[in-house]
Amino acid sequence: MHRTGDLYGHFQTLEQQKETATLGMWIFLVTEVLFFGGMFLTYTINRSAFSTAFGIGSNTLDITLGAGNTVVLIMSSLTMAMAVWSAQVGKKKLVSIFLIATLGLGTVFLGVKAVEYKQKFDHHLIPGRGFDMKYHPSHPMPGDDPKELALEKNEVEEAFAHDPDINAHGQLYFSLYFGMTGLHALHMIVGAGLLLWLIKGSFAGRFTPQYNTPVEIVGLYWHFVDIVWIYLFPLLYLIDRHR
Amino acid sequence: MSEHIVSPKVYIVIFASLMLGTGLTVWAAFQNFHQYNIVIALGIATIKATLVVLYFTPGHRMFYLLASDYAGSDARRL
Repeated sequence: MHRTGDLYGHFQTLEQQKETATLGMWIFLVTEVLFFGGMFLTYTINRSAFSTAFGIGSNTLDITLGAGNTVVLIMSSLTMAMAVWSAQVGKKKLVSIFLIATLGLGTVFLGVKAVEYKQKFDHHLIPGRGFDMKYHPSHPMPGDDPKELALEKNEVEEAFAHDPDINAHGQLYFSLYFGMTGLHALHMIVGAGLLLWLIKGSFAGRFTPQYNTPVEIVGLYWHFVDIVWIYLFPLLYLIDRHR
Repeated sequence: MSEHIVSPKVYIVIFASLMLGTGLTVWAAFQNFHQYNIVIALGIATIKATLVVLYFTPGHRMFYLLASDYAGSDARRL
């Protein structure tokens, strides 16, 4: 494609090029809202139909890891915004530093998610043949708190009394948990790839006050992924916690 | 259209508000507000999302683009 400096041939000015790219990204993000919207709707319908199973499933998640990851992701949004600011004011070194920080925080988020997924495998909470909500309370893992385990056992037994099909309905909750957080994680992985590309560009000193569109556009995407998590955290981790 | 640069101070204030919102979400989840627990959780999430869109992204620019550039001033310039 014909290109003069940073300006592609089919645009007249850098400003027009930036406006077009920004509008394009917003339109893409609107389609993403529709995409995630389907999952949120499925979640809403199933949660209202099987509230006991969703409550008990949610209580197996680790709030500390979930809330910690929320903090990590919001911090990464801050470093992303700072990367855009650094490019706008011409601090080229800071652009690289903030982009690397964003990538680092994104990686921490994914690492924590991997730890959480592993725990669900160990506790037989992966939808499928081995799924059993009673497994973990009767098979303690090293490091489990006996008090909490006794509470969990009690809770699961109560839930079974309330809803005999809890294992079937619990699988719905965990299917949605893995589906929604997995899709979110996939978006994070795509974002990490984009960040690597930006970091490479920032090392070459490509982003300046005159031209920083890629940083801003990837920033938009990254903030969107953050917003999805802002909703996922209370919806998946915090059901029926007051009981 | 001149570029509007948001000061890092604003970013820090928004970041602090988002942290406060996260803490508030966790606190509220452990209180019994009956059927309003979910309303409160989603309310805080929506406030947080709005803060991200308005301050971390050039969200205001999208409205500017749609309202003035495409609908009005560009057409007048032609």
